[in-house]
Amino acid sequence: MKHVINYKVPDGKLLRLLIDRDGDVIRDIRITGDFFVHPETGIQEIETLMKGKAVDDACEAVEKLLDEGKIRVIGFRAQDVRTALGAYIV
Amino acid sequence: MSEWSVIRVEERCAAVNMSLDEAMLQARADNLIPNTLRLFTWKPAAVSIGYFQSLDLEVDREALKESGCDIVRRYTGGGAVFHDEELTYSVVLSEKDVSSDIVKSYEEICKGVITALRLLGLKAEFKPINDILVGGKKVSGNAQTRKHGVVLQHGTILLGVDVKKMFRLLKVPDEKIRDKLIASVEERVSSVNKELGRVVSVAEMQDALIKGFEESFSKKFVHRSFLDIELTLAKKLFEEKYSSMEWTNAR
Repeated sequence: MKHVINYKVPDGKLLRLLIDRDGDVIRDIRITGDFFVHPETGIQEIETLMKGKAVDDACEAVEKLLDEGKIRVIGFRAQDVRTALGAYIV
Repeated sequence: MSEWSVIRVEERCAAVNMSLDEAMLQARADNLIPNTLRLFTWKPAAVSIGYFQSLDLEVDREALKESGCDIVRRYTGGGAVFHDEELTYSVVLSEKDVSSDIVKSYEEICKGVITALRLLGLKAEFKPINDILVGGKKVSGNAQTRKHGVVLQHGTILLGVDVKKMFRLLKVPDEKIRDKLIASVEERVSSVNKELGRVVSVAEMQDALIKGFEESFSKKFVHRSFLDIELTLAKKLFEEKYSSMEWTNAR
C-alpha cells in the first residue's frame, strides 16, 4: 500500500484508508478504522468492488451496494470515503 | 429459554477472553445456552483492536513486546482498547430480545451498565454510537456483532485509567501532536474510581452490573459455569483464530 489517508468522519468514526493508486484508478484499497460493518465480511465486498475503478466510479458503486441494505455500516457513509479520497491529491 | 444466566468474573488472557465470547455466541446460536452475561478481566493487561483496524497503524509492536502486554483482534468492530484497570462484560442475546436497529440496541444493552453505575451513585448517559459517559467523560466503550440471530456485545467499564500508559502502546496518526492528543484524551476519558472519589473493587462493580442488567432487562440472571461445549468451542477458536498471527495481522 502506498498511502495512508486519515479522515475523521463528522459525527462518525475515524477512517484510515490504505491505498495504492495509479492516477485516478484505485489499484488496491483497505478500509480500516474504528467503525462497524454488519456483517463484518461486508468490508471485503466493499474493497473488492472499489479495486480497479476510478475513485468516482468506485464510490458510486459502494453507494449503490450500501443502498441495497444487505451490508450495514455504522460510523461512515459511502460519501465519506469519497471525501477522504478526494482530500488526497496525487 | 426464558431464564437468563450470568458467568461470574474470571481472569484470563486476551486470546482466551475473545475465544470464550465467540464460543458463547455460537452456543447461543445453536440454542445450547440461554441469554448470558459474562464478566471478566484481563491478565496480562492487553490491547484489543477492532475487527477493521490495521494492527500496524494502531499498535506499536516493539513497545507492546517490551511491556509484556497481550494483543488480540476482536470479532467486533470499534477502536483499540487498553484493558488494564477495568471490568469487562460480554452478553449474548437472541436478536429478538433487542431492537433490530443497531444503535438502538447498543443503547438498550448499555442501559444495564448505566443502571449499574447509577446503583454505585453515578449519573451516566449513553452517547451514540457506543459510549457511556459520566460527567461528559467516557467511562465505557462497547462493541457488538450479530451472527445467526444472536447479538454479542462486549464492553469495558473503566475502574481506573492511565492514558499515558495506554499511549505508550498505541501509535498516533501524527507523532508531532502526541502530547496534545494525550492531553485531549485525558480530558475526554474518566473512570468509575475517579468519578466516585473512591476505589471500587472488581467484585463490587460485578455485583452492580448483575443488578443493573437484571433491572434494565427485567430478568433474573441465574449463575452458571461454562458448559463443556462452550469450553471445547473456545479451545478450538483459541488455537485456530485468536492466538494465530494470521488473525491478529489480518488487516
